[in-house]
Amino acid sequence: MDKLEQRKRIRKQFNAQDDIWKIEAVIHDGNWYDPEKWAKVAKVDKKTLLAWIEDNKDILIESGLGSYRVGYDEIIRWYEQEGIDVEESIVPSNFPPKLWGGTTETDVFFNAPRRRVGTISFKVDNNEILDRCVEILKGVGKVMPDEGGRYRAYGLSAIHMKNLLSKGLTESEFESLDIKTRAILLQRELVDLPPEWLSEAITFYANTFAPSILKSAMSTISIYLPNKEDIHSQIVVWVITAMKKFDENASVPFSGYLSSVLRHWPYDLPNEFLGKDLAKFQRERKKVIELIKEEGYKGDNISIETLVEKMDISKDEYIELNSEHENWLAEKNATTLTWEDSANEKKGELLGSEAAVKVDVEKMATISLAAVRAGIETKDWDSMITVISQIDKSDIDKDINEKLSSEFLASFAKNLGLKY
Amino acid sequence: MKGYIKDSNLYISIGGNSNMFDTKARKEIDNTFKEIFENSFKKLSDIQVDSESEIIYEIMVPAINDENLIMSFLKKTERLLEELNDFNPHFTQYERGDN
Repeated sequence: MDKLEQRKRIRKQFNAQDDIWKIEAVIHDGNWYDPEKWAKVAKVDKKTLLAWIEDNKDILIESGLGSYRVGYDEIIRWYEQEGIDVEESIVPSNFPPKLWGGTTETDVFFNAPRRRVGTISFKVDNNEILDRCVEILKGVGKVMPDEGGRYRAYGLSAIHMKNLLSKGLTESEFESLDIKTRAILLQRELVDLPPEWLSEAITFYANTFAPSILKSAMSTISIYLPNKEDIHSQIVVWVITAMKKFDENASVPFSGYLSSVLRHWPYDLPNEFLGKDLAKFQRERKKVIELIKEEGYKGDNISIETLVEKMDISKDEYIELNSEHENWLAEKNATTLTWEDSANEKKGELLGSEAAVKVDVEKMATISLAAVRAGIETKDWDSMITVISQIDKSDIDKDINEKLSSEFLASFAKNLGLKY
Repeated sequence: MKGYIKDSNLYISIGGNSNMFDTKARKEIDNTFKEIFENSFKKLSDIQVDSESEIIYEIMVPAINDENLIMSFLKKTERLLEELNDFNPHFTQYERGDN
């Protein structure tokens, strides 16, 4: 049975049940529900739900924030009573209870509360200094890679760690670290989470849950992480980061928190990969070019003077950042097939040379049509199928250009409106 | 004429914001496939994840490596991509979710 049919079946079976069964089915997934959300998911009126809550207080766990859930034993009891496999989906759009490692997800986080830690963030010029920092902070703070090429040490006291480094390093070495301290941070350690649960949870959230949430951000992610292995590793890092930060007292399911942060974190990738200055420059430049075009500009080349004026930066600054931007594009496209240039980056490039990078459905539709037209014009089915087999694929064959005939490439480029 | 088109499976994905895919639009898409490919296509999946929808069709390539048949097939595919242009139809690499 495919997924669509499975969803239809779950919906049909759920809708056929009475209100009480629906109320019980929803709460027995082990997550927190406030009465509004609970009634909505169960598709029952709130009055019926409140009456059921009143009658079943003995099995419910109530949070201080007015949400409810049930514990592991109650989940098992109810599923046994109903004769349903606990791994079966029974509520439309909801996952089955997450009972990995013989406990509920909510209890796992409750039993591993976040702790107050002090952190310092620093940058190092070479591995030798990094090794010395790790040695100096041994037993006091744990050093981990951080965003923007920096490192972060986690310990009890940020001030103490900073003092230790100032004593252990020379003055110039210490100053070169550009230390930033954060006195209090709430975080849990992965070692506090049960290993059996952690393994199952990371597999589920990184392989099943996160990809569906990240679908709309995938075009942004694939700009910076072109390989699917890199994307998967990044997703695992995001899932683990969310596990470390999740507030166990928030009375919301971890999945709700994760889906919320996953809608934002991919948009930090430009800052992380390009640095804040270049990422800001790219955003501003794109915005200004769009604005100039909206104002009626028809040409292909907008002068630097116009851009500089609208972006409110100096010409020297523009030239320096633009050069970094061009280098980044060249480096990125040197090993990756990119098909098009976005309207505001259009320069009439050769196919396969420096081009803009955003690949979305509109572009994939253009490429699909161009490939078919080139196939019709050249009758080179091999080349056409080679191109088609790369569309909507995360790991593009880097040597694809060499596999296409020059006749096909010329026709394909023409149909894409590019020079060849 | 070169080619291994007869050994290929071609899948077309139509996707975007779920607001675009009301009953009328879905009917229009289905009818376009029927009109152009008659029985030589299959709807493989129609899923909605949050606000995004994706419908995937398989189109049957000619089983014989005949130039006329292939040209006719490609012209039908071109027409399909043009007529459904508003829905950004594109080739995709389909894998069943339960594989």
